[in-house]
Amino acid sequence: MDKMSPDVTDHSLIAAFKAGDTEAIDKIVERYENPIFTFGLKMCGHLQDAEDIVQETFLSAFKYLDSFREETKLRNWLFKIAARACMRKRRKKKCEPERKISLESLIHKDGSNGNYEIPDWSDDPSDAFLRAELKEVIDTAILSLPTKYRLAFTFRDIEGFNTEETAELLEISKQSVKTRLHRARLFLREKIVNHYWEGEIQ
Amino acid sequence: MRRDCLKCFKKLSEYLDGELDDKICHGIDAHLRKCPECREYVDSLRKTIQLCKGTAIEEMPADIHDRVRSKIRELLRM
Repeated sequence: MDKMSPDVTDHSLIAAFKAGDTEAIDKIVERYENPIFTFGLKMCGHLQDAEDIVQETFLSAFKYLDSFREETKLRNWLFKIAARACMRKRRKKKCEPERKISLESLIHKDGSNGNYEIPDWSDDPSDAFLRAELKEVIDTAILSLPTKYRLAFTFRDIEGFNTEETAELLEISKQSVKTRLHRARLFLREKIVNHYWEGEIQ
Repeated sequence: MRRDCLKCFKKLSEYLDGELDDKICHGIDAHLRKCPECREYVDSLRKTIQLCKGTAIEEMPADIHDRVRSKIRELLRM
Protein backbone atom coordinates (compact mmCIF):
# COMPACT_ATOMS: atom_id res chain seq x y z
CA MET A 1 0.00 0.00 0.00
CA ASP A 2 1.16 3.49 -0.73
CA LYS A 3 2.33 5.32 2.36
CA MET A 4 0.18 8.31 1.40
CA SER A 5 -3.05 6.33 1.05
CA PRO A 6 -4.29 5.66 4.56
CA ASP A 7 -5.91 2.42 5.57
CA VAL A 8 -9.67 2.85 5.20
CA THR A 9 -10.50 1.47 8.64
CA ASP A 10 -7.87 3.67 10.29
CA HIS A 11 -9.17 6.68 8.42
CA SER A 12 -12.71 6.15 9.75
CA LEU A 13 -11.46 5.44 13.28
CA ILE A 14 -9.42 8.65 13.28
CA ALA A 15 -12.43 10.58 12.00
CA ALA A 16 -14.62 9.02 14.70
CA PHE A 17 -12.06 9.88 17.39
CA LYS A 18 -11.88 13.48 16.19
CA ALA A 19 -15.69 13.62 16.32
CA GLY A 20 -15.59 12.59 19.98
CA ASP A 21 -16.50 8.90 19.64
CA THR A 22 -14.68 7.24 22.55
CA GLU A 23 -15.31 3.76 21.14
CA ALA A 24 -12.79 4.61 18.45
CA ILE A 25 -10.09 4.58 21.13
CA ASP A 26 -10.81 0.95 22.02
CA LYS A 27 -10.92 -0.02 18.38
CA ILE A 28 -7.56 1.62 17.62
CA VAL A 29 -6.01 -0.03 20.68
CA GLU A 30 -7.50 -3.37 19.66
CA ARG A 31 -5.96 -3.09 16.18
CA TYR A 32 -2.46 -2.18 17.21
CA GLU A 33 -1.78 -3.28 20.78
CA ASN A 34 -0.48 -6.72 19.85
CA PRO A 35 1.97 -5.60 17.12
CA ILE A 36 3.26 -2.84 19.39
CA PHE A 37 3.53 -5.26 22.29
CA THR A 38 5.51 -7.65 20.04
CA PHE A 39 7.76 -4.78 19.02
CA GLY A 40 8.28 -3.72 22.66
CA LEU A 41 9.09 -7.25 23.75
CA LYS A 42 11.53 -7.84 20.90
CA MET A 43 13.23 -4.53 21.60
CA CYS A 44 13.38 -4.71 25.40
CA GLY A 45 13.01 -8.37 26.30
CA HIS A 46 10.89 -7.79 29.41
CA LEU A 47 7.13 -7.93 29.82
CA GLN A 48 7.09 -4.84 32.04
CA ASP A 49 9.07 -2.80 29.50
CA ALA A 50 6.83 -3.99 26.67
CA GLU A 51 3.77 -3.00 28.70
CA ASP A 52 5.26 0.45 29.36
CA ILE A 53 5.95 0.90 25.66
CA VAL A 54 2.39 -0.04 24.67
CA GLN A 55 1.03 2.33 27.28
CA GLU A 56 3.33 5.25 26.42
CA THR A 57 2.66 4.78 22.72
CA PHE A 58 -1.12 4.94 23.01
CA LEU A 59 -1.17 7.71 25.59
CA SER A 60 1.05 9.86 23.43
CA ALA A 61 -0.90 8.95 20.29
CA PHE A 62 -4.30 9.84 21.75
CA LYS A 63 -2.91 13.08 23.13
CA TYR A 64 -1.95 14.21 19.64
CA LEU A 65 -4.41 12.31 17.45
CA ASP A 66 -6.66 15.34 17.13
CA SER A 67 -3.94 17.12 15.17
CA PHE A 68 -2.80 14.03 13.22
CA ARG A 69 -3.15 14.94 9.54
CA GLU A 70 -2.71 11.46 8.08
CA GLU A 71 0.34 12.42 6.06
CA THR A 72 1.63 9.05 7.12
CA LYS A 73 -0.27 5.87 7.97
CA LEU A 74 -1.56 5.56 11.53
CA ARG A 75 0.34 2.30 11.92
CA ASN A 76 3.64 3.93 10.93
CA TRP A 77 2.99 6.89 13.20
CA LEU A 78 2.28 4.60 16.17
CA PHE A 79 5.45 2.61 15.55
CA LYS A 80 7.48 5.79 15.33
CA ILE A 81 6.15 6.78 18.75
CA ALA A 82 6.88 3.26 20.04
CA ALA A 83 10.46 3.41 18.72
CA ARG A 84 11.00 6.71 20.54
CA ALA A 85 9.61 5.17 23.73
CA CYS A 86 12.11 2.30 23.36
CA MET A 87 15.00 4.70 22.90
CA ARG A 88 13.95 6.71 25.96
CA LYS A 89 13.83 3.52 28.00
CA ARG A 90 17.26 2.57 26.77
CA ARG A 91 18.67 5.97 27.76
CA LYS A 92 17.08 5.75 31.21
CA LYS A 93 18.67 2.36 31.76
CA LYS A 94 22.05 3.85 30.87
CA CYS A 95 22.83 0.97 28.56
CA GLU A 96 26.32 0.40 27.23
CA PRO A 97 27.29 2.32 24.09
CA GLU A 98 26.19 0.75 20.84
CA ARG A 99 28.42 -1.92 19.33
CA LYS A 100 28.88 -2.08 15.60
CA ILE A 101 28.55 -5.32 13.68
CA SER A 102 31.17 -5.38 10.96
CA LEU A 103 30.66 -7.46 7.87
CA GLU A 104 34.16 -8.85 8.28
CA SER A 105 33.27 -10.27 11.68
CA LEU A 106 30.51 -12.32 10.05
CA ILE A 107 32.62 -13.89 7.32
CA HIS A 108 33.74 -17.45 7.94
CA LYS A 109 32.98 -17.33 11.62
CA ASP A 110 31.47 -20.75 11.72
CA GLY A 111 34.09 -22.61 9.74
CA SER A 112 34.25 -23.25 6.04
CA ASN A 113 31.68 -22.13 3.57
CA GLY A 114 29.81 -25.44 3.76
CA ASN A 115 27.86 -27.28 6.46
CA TYR A 116 25.50 -24.45 7.16
CA GLU A 117 22.35 -26.43 7.04
CA ILE A 118 19.57 -25.29 9.34
CA PRO A 119 16.82 -27.85 9.96
CA ASP A 120 13.45 -26.84 8.63
CA TRP A 121 11.59 -26.65 11.94
CA SER A 122 9.22 -24.10 10.55
CA ASP A 123 7.42 -26.92 8.73
CA ASP A 124 6.71 -28.85 11.90
CA PRO A 125 4.27 -26.90 14.04
CA SER A 126 3.24 -30.10 15.83
CA ASP A 127 6.28 -30.17 18.05
CA ALA A 128 5.39 -27.55 20.63
CA PHE A 129 8.42 -28.23 22.80
CA LEU A 130 10.84 -27.86 19.91
CA ARG A 131 9.14 -24.68 18.78
CA ALA A 132 9.23 -23.21 22.28
CA GLU A 133 12.92 -24.00 22.54
CA LEU A 134 13.60 -22.57 19.13
CA LYS A 135 11.64 -19.44 19.95
CA GLU A 136 13.77 -18.92 23.05
CA VAL A 137 16.97 -19.27 21.01
CA ILE A 138 15.71 -16.80 18.43
CA ASP A 139 14.40 -14.29 20.99
CA THR A 140 17.72 -14.40 22.85
CA ALA A 141 19.61 -13.93 19.58
CA ILE A 142 17.42 -10.96 18.61
CA LEU A 143 17.98 -9.37 22.02
CA SER A 144 21.73 -9.76 21.65
CA LEU A 145 21.68 -7.55 18.54
CA PRO A 146 22.86 -3.98 19.17
CA THR A 147 19.83 -1.64 19.27
CA LYS A 148 20.17 -0.01 15.87
CA TYR A 149 20.36 -3.38 14.12
CA ARG A 150 17.53 -4.76 16.27
CA LEU A 151 15.32 -1.81 15.32
CA ALA A 152 15.93 -2.27 11.61
CA PHE A 153 15.44 -6.04 11.84
CA THR A 154 12.28 -5.80 13.97
CA PHE A 155 10.65 -3.23 11.70
CA ARG A 156 11.54 -5.09 8.50
CA ASP A 157 11.32 -8.78 9.34
CA ILE A 158 8.98 -8.88 12.33
CA GLU A 159 6.58 -6.02 11.74
CA GLY A 160 6.75 -6.21 7.96
CA PHE A 161 7.54 -2.58 7.08
CA ASN A 162 9.29 -2.13 3.75
CA THR A 163 12.71 -0.53 3.35
CA GLU A 164 11.33 2.93 2.61
CA GLU A 165 8.95 2.90 5.56
CA THR A 166 11.69 1.65 7.88
CA ALA A 167 14.00 4.41 6.67
CA GLU A 168 11.30 6.97 7.51
CA LEU A 169 10.57 5.43 10.89
CA LEU A 170 14.23 5.44 11.87
CA GLU A 171 15.05 8.68 10.06
CA ILE A 172 17.96 7.09 8.23
CA SER A 173 18.70 6.41 4.56
CA LYS A 174 17.31 3.39 2.73
CA GLN A 175 20.88 2.19 2.23
CA SER A 176 21.48 2.29 5.99
CA VAL A 177 18.33 0.21 6.54
CA LYS A 178 19.60 -2.37 4.04
CA THR A 179 23.07 -2.45 5.63
CA ARG A 180 21.70 -2.82 9.17
CA LEU A 181 19.15 -5.43 8.16
CA HIS A 182 21.71 -7.51 6.30
CA ARG A 183 24.16 -7.50 9.20
CA ALA A 184 21.38 -8.29 11.67
CA ARG A 185 20.24 -11.27 9.60
CA LEU A 186 23.79 -12.59 9.16
CA PHE A 187 24.35 -12.20 12.91
CA LEU A 188 21.12 -14.06 13.73
CA ARG A 189 21.91 -16.78 11.22
CA GLU A 190 25.24 -17.32 12.88
CA LYS A 191 23.67 -17.50 16.36
CA ILE A 192 21.09 -20.04 15.18
CA VAL A 193 23.68 -22.14 13.36
CA ASN A 194 25.97 -22.05 16.41
CA HIS A 195 23.21 -23.18 18.73
CA TYR A 196 22.31 -25.97 16.39
CA TRP A 197 25.86 -27.22 15.95
CA GLU A 198 26.67 -26.86 19.63
CA GLY A 199 23.77 -29.26 20.24
CA GLU A 200 21.68 -26.79 22.18
CA ILE A 201 18.79 -27.54 19.87
CA GLN A 202 18.33 -31.20 19.05
CA MET B 1 36.18 -16.23 0.96
CA ARG B 2 36.69 -15.87 -2.79
CA ARG B 3 36.09 -12.49 -4.34
CA ASP B 4 32.98 -13.52 -6.28
CA CYS B 5 31.58 -15.23 -3.15
CA LEU B 6 32.22 -12.08 -1.11
CA LYS B 7 30.48 -9.96 -3.72
CA CYS B 8 27.47 -12.26 -3.49
CA PHE B 9 27.61 -12.43 0.34
CA LYS B 10 27.38 -8.64 0.61
CA LYS B 11 24.18 -8.51 -1.42
CA LEU B 12 22.32 -11.56 -0.12
CA SER B 13 19.61 -9.77 1.86
CA GLU B 14 18.76 -7.47 -1.02
CA TYR B 15 18.79 -10.52 -3.28
CA LEU B 16 16.34 -12.38 -1.04
CA ASP B 17 14.16 -9.29 -0.69
CA GLY B 18 14.03 -8.77 -4.46
CA GLU B 19 15.53 -5.32 -4.12
CA LEU B 20 18.38 -5.65 -6.60
CA ASP B 21 18.60 -4.45 -10.18
CA ASP B 22 18.03 -7.22 -12.69
CA LYS B 23 21.64 -7.14 -13.84
CA ILE B 24 23.06 -7.69 -10.34
CA CYS B 25 20.38 -10.25 -9.59
CA HIS B 26 21.26 -12.27 -12.69
CA GLY B 27 24.92 -12.06 -11.71
CA ILE B 28 24.12 -13.57 -8.31
CA ASP B 29 21.90 -16.24 -9.89
CA ALA B 30 24.78 -17.20 -12.16
CA HIS B 31 27.20 -17.33 -9.24
CA LEU B 32 24.83 -19.45 -7.16
CA ARG B 33 24.43 -21.93 -10.02
CA LYS B 34 28.12 -22.70 -9.93
CA CYS B 35 28.86 -22.25 -6.20
CA PRO B 36 27.26 -24.89 -3.92
CA GLU B 37 28.73 -23.25 -0.81
CA CYS B 38 27.02 -19.93 -1.50
CA ARG B 39 23.82 -21.81 -2.36
CA GLU B 40 23.88 -23.42 1.06
CA TYR B 41 24.58 -20.07 2.65
CA VAL B 42 21.63 -18.44 0.90
CA ASP B 43 19.44 -21.33 1.94
CA SER B 44 20.47 -21.00 5.59
CA LEU B 45 19.92 -17.24 5.52
CA ARG B 46 16.49 -17.73 3.97
CA LYS B 47 15.61 -20.24 6.69
CA THR B 48 16.89 -17.88 9.38
CA ILE B 49 14.55 -15.17 8.14
CA GLN B 50 11.63 -17.61 7.94
CA LEU B 51 12.30 -18.95 11.42
CA CYS B 52 12.53 -15.48 12.91
CA LYS B 53 9.32 -14.40 11.22
CA GLY B 54 7.57 -17.64 12.18
CA THR B 55 8.34 -17.42 15.88
CA ALA B 56 8.05 -13.68 16.22
CA ILE B 57 4.49 -12.82 17.05
CA GLU B 58 3.76 -12.36 20.73
CA GLU B 59 0.34 -12.55 22.31
CA MET B 60 -0.24 -9.82 24.83
CA PRO B 61 -1.20 -11.36 28.21
CA ALA B 62 -4.76 -10.57 29.34
CA ASP B 63 -3.66 -8.77 32.52
CA ILE B 64 -1.45 -6.39 30.51
CA HIS B 65 -4.28 -5.83 28.06
CA ASP B 66 -6.61 -4.87 30.96
CA ARG B 67 -4.05 -2.59 32.62
CA VAL B 68 -3.29 -0.77 29.36
CA ARG B 69 -7.00 -0.17 28.72
CA SER B 70 -7.67 1.11 32.21
CA LYS B 71 -4.60 3.38 32.18
CA ILE B 72 -5.68 4.91 28.87
CA ARG B 73 -9.22 5.42 30.17
CA GLU B 74 -7.92 6.93 33.38
CA LEU B 75 -5.58 9.38 31.67
CA LEU B 76 -8.06 10.35 28.99
CA ARG B 77 -10.73 10.61 31.71
CA MET B 78 -13.25 8.56 29.82
